[in-house]
Amino acid sequence: MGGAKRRGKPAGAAAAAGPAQTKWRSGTQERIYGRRLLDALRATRLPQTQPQPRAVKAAADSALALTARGQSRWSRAILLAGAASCRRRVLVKAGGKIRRHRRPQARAALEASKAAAAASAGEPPVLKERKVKDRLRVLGRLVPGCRKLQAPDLLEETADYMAALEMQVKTMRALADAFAAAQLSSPQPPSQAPEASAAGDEAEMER
Amino acid sequence: MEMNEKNDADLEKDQPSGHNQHPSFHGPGFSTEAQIDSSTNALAAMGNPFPPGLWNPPGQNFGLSETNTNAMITGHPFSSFLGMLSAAVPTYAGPSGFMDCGTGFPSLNGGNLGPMMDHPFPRNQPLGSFQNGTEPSREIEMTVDEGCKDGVSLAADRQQGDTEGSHGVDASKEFSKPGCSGGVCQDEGPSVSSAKKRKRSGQDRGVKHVQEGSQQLATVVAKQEKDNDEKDGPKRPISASRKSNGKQTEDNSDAPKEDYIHIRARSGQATNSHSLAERVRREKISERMKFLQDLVPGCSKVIGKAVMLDEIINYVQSLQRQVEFLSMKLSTVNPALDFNIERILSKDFFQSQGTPASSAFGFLPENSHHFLHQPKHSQAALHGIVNPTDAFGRVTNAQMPNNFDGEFHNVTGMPFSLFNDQESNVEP
Repeated sequence: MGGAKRRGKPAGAAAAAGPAQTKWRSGTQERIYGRRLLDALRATRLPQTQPQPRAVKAAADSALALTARGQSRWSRAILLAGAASCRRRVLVKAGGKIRRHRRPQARAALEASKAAAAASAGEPPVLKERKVKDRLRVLGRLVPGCRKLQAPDLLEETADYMAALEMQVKTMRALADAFAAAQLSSPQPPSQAPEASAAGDEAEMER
Repeated sequence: MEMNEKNDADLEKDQPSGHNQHPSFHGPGFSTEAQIDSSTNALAAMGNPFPPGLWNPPGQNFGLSETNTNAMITGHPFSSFLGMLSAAVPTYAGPSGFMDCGTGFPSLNGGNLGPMMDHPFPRNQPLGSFQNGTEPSREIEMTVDEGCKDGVSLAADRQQGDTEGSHGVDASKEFSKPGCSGGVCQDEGPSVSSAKKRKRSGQDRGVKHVQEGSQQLATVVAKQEKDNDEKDGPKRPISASRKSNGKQTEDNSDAPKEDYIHIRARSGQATNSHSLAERVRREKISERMKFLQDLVPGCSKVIGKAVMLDEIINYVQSLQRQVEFLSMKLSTVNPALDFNIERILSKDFFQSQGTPASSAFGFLPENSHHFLHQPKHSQAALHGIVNPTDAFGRVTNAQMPNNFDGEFHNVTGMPFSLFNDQESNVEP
């Protein structure tokens, strides 16, 4: 694991040196990630079992973390979690698994804290601080490997993570659409219906 | 520690060579190059949250410091050493090194070592010997521990930086985290106290503005002096520090230091070291919040940390949900494909990477020539056309499945496959 992780890190300045935004939005990164994602997806299909969405997601996240080259805390956390659970047949990112449970909890905790803050008749500054702290805690749970991070570092990791997620969504959507289009063009009647519905669902998912 | 004693003795003189040469790993008292050399060790020993590998990017500078420091012994110690460090510092401050060090923070691109400062490096005590020097106020001050007021080296560094005109000390200051135990710092004696004062001001400078004028530094320094007077510590260095600060001020006003990072103590605000450090921290946080605001769509009009954080959390959650949904979609799409389609798909996919995904519906993937007819993909098609599309694409894509089949058969887990893939892949 350590060796693999070290391989992921660059020996010196990486090619994309700059703010998180431009680094993740460059076409090069997209292509790198796309290629990695494709290979990872092929790997998930090898076991010849029904490819589970979890495995695909774990593969996508690991590929994303790899593309980050281990320079951010969340990417290292993802890589470590993936490496730790590699022996399992089902590759579930440990952080992802916990996150799945926590995400509704996080939202609930946030709302509960909001209600509590509103109910208590404390001073505004104290209230605001508590609200901000609660939200920071929630954010720390969202970003992998940043639970016990302080505010400035957490915000930095969040920025990088957000840019990376945007790129991941963009790439996966392109891949999925290309897959869908390829399937549409090829004569496979049974697969066309689910593809169309999946595409429709995704359109609804748009923010 | 002998190094410390030597520093004590040499406080009043320009004798940095001694401590600078010892790369041995001592507790809080590190020589500059010792810090640089053993930064990775220090990281491990100090329980640094970041793995030592994080410092690989600056690793190249370590060799520089080592060689130059040796040369320092013979020649004039300060100038050569500091010159070396100044050469090293720009690399540190270089965006490539640090941005990749897990920061990627835009505002820090201008040579700001703030994020790096946040790493708990041991303080650089020996730099106290630089007291006499006047370095340029090019301090890359970190404010990780605002509470740590015992930045001996930091304070000293700033002073010497002014005279020396090099930023080398700043590099050492980077490593010298103010977290060093107060007791050790106090033992330094005069240099410590003066360093303490300067360090405090330095740490208050913080990460923010690279372009701060030297006058502001003077302002802060002056205020720091007032604050420092109140702090406990030997009174001896006070006068010395004042004098050196005066010199420092002049030097600062003479040469604007681009990479100097410090915070201006606003008039009317408390100049207590604590509040200054807190203000630096707050400004750091607000700066990052502003950056996040630009990142999150539709948050330009939101004001306030709580609401902003709410939006950020919402956005991150929605992005993660999208990833999950897309992975579900990909998992359904995957089994229906065979290698032929994958080849075509990968060709199309990589060619259409530059264009938004929504346009994917409009193109026919059968033949790459079809891309030409799609206006949205005209640019992408040009990419393909530049290379002999069919031949090159088909050849590479044909090779890919074969290679990966062989590789992946031995793979037991996803990470391994990805890592193997990384080795064999040629990055574009």
